[in-house]
Amino acid sequence: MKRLVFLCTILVAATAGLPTVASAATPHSFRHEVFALGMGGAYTAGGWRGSALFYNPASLAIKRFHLNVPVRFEFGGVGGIRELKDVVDFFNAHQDELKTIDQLPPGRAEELDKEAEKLDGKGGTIRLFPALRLGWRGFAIQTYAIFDGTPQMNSGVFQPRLDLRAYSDIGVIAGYARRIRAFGDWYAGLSVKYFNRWEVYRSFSLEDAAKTPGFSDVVDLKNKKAGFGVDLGALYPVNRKLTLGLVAQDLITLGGVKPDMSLNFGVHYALLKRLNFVADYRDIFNSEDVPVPMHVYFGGELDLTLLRLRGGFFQGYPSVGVGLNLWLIKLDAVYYGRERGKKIGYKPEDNLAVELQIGLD
Amino acid sequence: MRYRFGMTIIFGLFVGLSLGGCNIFGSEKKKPGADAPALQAQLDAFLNPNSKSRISSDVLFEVAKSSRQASEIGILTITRELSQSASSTNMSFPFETLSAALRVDKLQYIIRMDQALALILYANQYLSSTTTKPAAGAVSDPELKTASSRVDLVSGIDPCSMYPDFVVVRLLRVLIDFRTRVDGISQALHISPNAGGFGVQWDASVVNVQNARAINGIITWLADPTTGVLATDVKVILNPESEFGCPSPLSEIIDLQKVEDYIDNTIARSMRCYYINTGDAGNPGIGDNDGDGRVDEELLNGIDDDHDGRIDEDARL
Repeated sequence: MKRLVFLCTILVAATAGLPTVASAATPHSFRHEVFALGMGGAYTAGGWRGSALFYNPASLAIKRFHLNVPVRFEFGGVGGIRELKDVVDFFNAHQDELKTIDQLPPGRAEELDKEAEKLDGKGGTIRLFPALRLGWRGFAIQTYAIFDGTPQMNSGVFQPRLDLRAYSDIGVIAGYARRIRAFGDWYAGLSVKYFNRWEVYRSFSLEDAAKTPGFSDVVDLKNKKAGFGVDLGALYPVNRKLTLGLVAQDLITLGGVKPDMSLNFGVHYALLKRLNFVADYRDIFNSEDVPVPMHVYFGGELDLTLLRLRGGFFQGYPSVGVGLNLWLIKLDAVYYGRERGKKIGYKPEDNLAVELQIGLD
Repeated sequence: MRYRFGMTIIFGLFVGLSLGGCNIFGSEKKKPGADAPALQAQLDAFLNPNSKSRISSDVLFEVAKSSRQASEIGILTITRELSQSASSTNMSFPFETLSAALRVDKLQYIIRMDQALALILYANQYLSSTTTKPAAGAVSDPELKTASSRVDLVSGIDPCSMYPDFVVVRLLRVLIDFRTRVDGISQALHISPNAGGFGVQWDASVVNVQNARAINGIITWLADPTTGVLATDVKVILNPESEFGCPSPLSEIIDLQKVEDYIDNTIARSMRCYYINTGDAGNPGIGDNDGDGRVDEELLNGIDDDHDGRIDEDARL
């Protein structure tokens, strides 16, 4: 254990000394795995299932040959999956009153105001995560794409607005890992990713939104930024049941996309061969200045061979997943919550995700 | 086997707890407008005469929005207030039902909203102007125009789409400013609907020459056709093309002709009917203020002396 502390100290000291020129609001180019989402998004110290390349490159040292194509689709909304519909319902239900607003009693206008204000910040999420993965023990390469769009209602100043925030990454990540026998018996890994990012932020007045802006009004394909990031990770098996993980995510960044470095710590406890629990504390240095619960992810998986049941808490919000394992075909579904605001409860987002994976895992 | 069964039960409970739906760490709802004090402090620091700092239109938009939320000024309530016409039922002057103290409180928020939105729009004019840059002293909002050169217009928000919001805020600012000035004379004075517009409603206890002179001064401050703030601060912004470099007409939401009619008739002309002939030489109450062919036909007494349905219009002491 002393050796692990020593290794951690070196890693933390190394990362703390690196200069970062970054924005806290810049998201990492990170592809969550569907099985990890079912376990509350924790997998820094995991490695018994699927690809953990984005979570901890050191996991490649215990990963076997794999070649597969996963495609995941997610949808949801801030405040609940039905909230986007609530926005539409509000305007439909009160359109007659809104048209003759000068005739309304003052008290009625105030009532409608209170209802409308509740819709502020509500909206939907749509995400797509395709990938192509190839790897064997010690080395893996993955091409991936992330499409993340979040249309949201904005009560505005006096004119309600529709905000569209979206980004898309298309990139490739490659990792290398090996067993290390110095300072104990552990695994070290390094991954390098290169990606292009397109970002969109447009705030439409409802009048403009009603005119149904075209794709070119929203997205400028020429406006892309290239990003380059290096992750450094370690896995330390304390005993047959307990493994600890430590990752410096985006330790080095170059190019036009520079997220803050995130130092993540994870624990994996294999209670039984088919019953595993994981927990992560992500972004130890709190680069995004959020409260402690928003760094915490934990959950577990029960493997029944054909069926895999998962549960956990993603920043304290529940996650539940189920996976169907048909050897070359895997079908997974997960419900998970997450926080999009600066504090728990400010902008809770509910999501449903389904993933189809074809190939050897 | 017994052990495994137990673990399965534990796992089942774990999943069951997950299905409970709430956050296990507890959660708090963000109160609308909670960010207003911090954002307003940013705006104040930016507007400090010695400041050379920059501010983004995103932050300015949030200043305006959070100030509106913190003031608890409802969008639909204001839309209702400002869309009043002679045919409207329940017609009332904006915020008339509130106490004087609450009106002062809301005015402080409205001023910040006005400043933030004006900066966004003036910044658009600053960037779009290829010849003459706006100069301090030449316009009604000289400080804001000068400061607008330090505003960064981010690509996400079209500044011109803020114009309808700004027109509403500016009009509201002027009307609430007027109303708080009336409060300053006497809180027994009210602004009441009167024949398609509004008028000052007097209480017998505050009828005196000093108050009458003060009301004349405030009506001039608001409604004088050339020097009143409705003309200098509000009507001047009704040309988005020349003032802000925005296309006109730019919106179907806001009918600028109707806004102008509201300013000229519902507010300015109707308020000028309530000039009082104080007996002072050259005072604005002299003459036929309400244009009905009669001069000084009312006594300032809170009674409809000429039986025309309006009280204390074209009055004399």
